[in-house]
Amino acid sequence: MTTPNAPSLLPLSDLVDYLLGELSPADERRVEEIFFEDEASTRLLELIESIREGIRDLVTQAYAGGVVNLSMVQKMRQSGLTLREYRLTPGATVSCKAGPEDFVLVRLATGFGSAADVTVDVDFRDLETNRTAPTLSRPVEVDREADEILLIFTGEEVRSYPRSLWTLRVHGRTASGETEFGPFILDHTP
Amino acid sequence: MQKTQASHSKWNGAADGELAKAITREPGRCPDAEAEFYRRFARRVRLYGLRHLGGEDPARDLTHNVMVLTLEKLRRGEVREPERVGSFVLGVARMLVHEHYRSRSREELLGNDPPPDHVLEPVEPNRLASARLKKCMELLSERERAILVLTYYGEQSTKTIAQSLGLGAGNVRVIRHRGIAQLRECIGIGKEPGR
Repeated sequence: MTTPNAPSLLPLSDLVDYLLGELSPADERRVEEIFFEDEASTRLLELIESIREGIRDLVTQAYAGGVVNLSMVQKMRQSGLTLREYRLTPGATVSCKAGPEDFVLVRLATGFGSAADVTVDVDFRDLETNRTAPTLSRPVEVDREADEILLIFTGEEVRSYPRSLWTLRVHGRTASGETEFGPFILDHTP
Repeated sequence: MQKTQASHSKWNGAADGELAKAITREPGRCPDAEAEFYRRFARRVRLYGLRHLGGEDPARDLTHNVMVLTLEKLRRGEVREPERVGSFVLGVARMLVHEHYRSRSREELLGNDPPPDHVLEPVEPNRLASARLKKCMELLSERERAILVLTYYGEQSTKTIAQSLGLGAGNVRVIRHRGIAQLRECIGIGKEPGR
């Protein structure tokens, strides 16, 4: 047995891959032979496992971060979560009415191709007061298979906004340099 | 069921082999050593079961069966190298998982001996507080967060995630390890050794 504060005999990467079943059979056996005799490795494996369970719990409790592909959306639906979906193409305005759903899914659909370092800028205008908010910019991932960007918001968050126009512009680095895609426009009614 | 508190027993800091020898030396009369042995190894068997059987319930059954069998063997003095008892427990776990897939009954594997019931509390998974984990997730980059969620909630393979994000599989692994290391740091449990 190792002492309580001894470092793990196995690196984190081996333990992560072990629990995912992504080690070769020989490496898997090696990892098992070590962690069965090493308390620190066991504790680290337990932590990884608790992170896995914690992330599953978070999404189930309407955590919107990190959802970037359609397979994931399908999995969420299969788990019983409700998503209201809006598919936006450049130049078109889509009306969006938030209900009591768990999530609102906004699909930005155009030919993003192999654009890298992609960010989305969101301009917000309150249609009741005509006030605007500073442009919000965030890095996003592209679902390369669907060639779309999937943005997910919690229903609670979307419902907190007043009647407003959201204009989304996507920027990315392509072979021809910095490229803008869009605009994609959501006309939101609470 | 008699529950033995192992947390403050004199056996806490004992080597695995010392525990095994104590159980063999005084069969059935060393409940603190058995409880510590169980606490230590049941967690390892559960993790092994999660990996190979894919769910909490079968992992819990495996843990129970492996520990019953191991403790009985120790009590009977049938573990030849008690100082290498970790390898023995792993061997039993491997055998039972193999037999699980061949659908042999528990009785065939374990015989009819009653289990040493005073130490067989199921191992409960550790739960992270959602609020704390959420806060730590927000500190990750968009890409790290995406890969962790796709991995653990989406249950997508590294290859699938790589295709989806237009990355190499090795890159996905590196980003995932980095994300978990950061979560670990943020959650505040342990530190990665100097690797």
